[in-house]
Amino acid sequence: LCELLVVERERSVLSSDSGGAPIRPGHEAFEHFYEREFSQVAALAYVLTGRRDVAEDLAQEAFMAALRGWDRIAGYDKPGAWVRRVVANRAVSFRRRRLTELRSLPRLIGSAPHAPVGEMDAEASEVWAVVRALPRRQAQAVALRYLDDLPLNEIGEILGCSPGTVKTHLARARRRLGDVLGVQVVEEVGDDAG
Amino acid sequence: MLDERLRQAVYEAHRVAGTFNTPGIEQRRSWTSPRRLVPALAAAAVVMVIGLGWWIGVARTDGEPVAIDPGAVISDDPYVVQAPGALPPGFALPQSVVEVPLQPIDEFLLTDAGYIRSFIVNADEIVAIGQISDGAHRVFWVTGTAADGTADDGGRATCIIDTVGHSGSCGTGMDGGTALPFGRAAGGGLMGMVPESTSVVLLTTPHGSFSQVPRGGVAFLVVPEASFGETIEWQAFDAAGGVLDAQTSPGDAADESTTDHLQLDITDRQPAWGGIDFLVLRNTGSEPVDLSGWQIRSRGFRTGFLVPDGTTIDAGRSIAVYEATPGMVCPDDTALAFFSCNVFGDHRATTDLLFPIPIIEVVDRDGSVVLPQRGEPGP
Repeated sequence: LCELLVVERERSVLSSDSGGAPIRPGHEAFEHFYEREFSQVAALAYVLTGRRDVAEDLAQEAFMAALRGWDRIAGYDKPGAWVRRVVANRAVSFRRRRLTELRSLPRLIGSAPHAPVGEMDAEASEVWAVVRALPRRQAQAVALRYLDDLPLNEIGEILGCSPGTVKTHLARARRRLGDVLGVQVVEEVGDDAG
Repeated sequence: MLDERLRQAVYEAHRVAGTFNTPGIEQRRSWTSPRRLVPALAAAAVVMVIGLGWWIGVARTDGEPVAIDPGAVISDDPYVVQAPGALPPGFALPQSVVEVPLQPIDEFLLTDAGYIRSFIVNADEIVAIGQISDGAHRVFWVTGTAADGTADDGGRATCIIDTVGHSGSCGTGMDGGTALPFGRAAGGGLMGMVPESTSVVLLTTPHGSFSQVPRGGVAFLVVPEASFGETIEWQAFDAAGGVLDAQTSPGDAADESTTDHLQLDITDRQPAWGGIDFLVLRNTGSEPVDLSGWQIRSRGFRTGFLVPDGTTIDAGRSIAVYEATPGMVCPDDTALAFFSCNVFGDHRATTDLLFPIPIIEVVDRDGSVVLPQRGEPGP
């Protein structure tokens, strides 16, 4: 359902012209977009992968992809949402591949892989580790909500879900985080998505 | 309180992310500038030719240079053999094949490679699949101009994919960047890692050659003029010059009774998703076609997009299969549109995973490959 919903929404929200090349005259220069957004996008990649080196690469790759298609992507109302979606999806893909590689590497090279080295303090690392252990959409929703401070409707545009679905993901994620971290969870009130 | 923990975690994430290296965009953009890209490619070609000469002269013949003429045996080395007449007129092997060092990967040498199963060329991506006798397929090397943001500045990646376990691994791009598995990387050529004791094979195409070399070696194929979707013919020869296999890519058998009015297109090629944005299957005939239980998948892979039961393409209409990416515009003439996420759920949500390589085939519910038909230009 998320993907069905997002196409129509993308036409109206992310793209300025649903019928042709969505290029807006006078769109933002890529350099400005890059400088403004890179750190935020890198942070998103970081918390979703747990790896600084991978996060840097994912963020750079996403921006390079944006650069190549900048004539088109700059025409979107929210090019930052496009980059975040790329990073969010690739971060999850990385985790899946990483798990596969971790399982296969000892067999292939005869030794155990090195554990990733975290750079955040222990408490923050623990929180994000629990977030990464959540189901994919919940983890992405939490990262976008709290890290980027995005409203529900924008998260929905990135993830391809309705704001209501995002809200459900967040509620379930918060309950799970509270359970695992052993902290009290207060239900969020209000809906900034409208 | 959870919110307090989250606030602290967010603060820490931003603090660390703020220390990330932010590469200079201008420097990276310079690679996309034709003014710089063309000379860079020319320089790379010169280096490759020199490298080939070095390889032919040193690595293959213990220092003795070997004169190579089309249609002649390359050397006495039993690993590299060129079948007489295999190369097209005027085709000079030294300009097309380069070997570079690669560390041996003994662990993948489960058994001898049988033959190169399929081989396709397009402007952005080149893929070769080795048929291993135990049934696994492995992509030897995938490279090309970066279509999805990976290693676009000249890097290359070594990718090995075991489709049985759906596992993949890639080496680091030569530029220091990380190239993702399943293939997108830059470089403009094809490399194949070769199992030990593989029979000596040389594939030739109108555009270049692919030679199998000893374990740990890498063959580099340059395809200067190929275009997307172009059909290429190739042959594989053993060390004695016998034909191991010969096909027209994409080249699988087709059932004319059901497929002569079906057409598979890759419509649009959005760089962010590895060159495939969505696939369109058209019914150009006058009768509806029932696609229930059919699969649209990457060649050599056992799973792909499973068409839901009850799906029929009416005459003159189409269906589309794609990842719903932001900003994407649906084709106007599709009667039905499928989204990969809907069928496979979250774990198959991207075209990167749904179609790991852009060699697409359509398989009916009996398992027969019905598209592309033999001799047809493939996607």
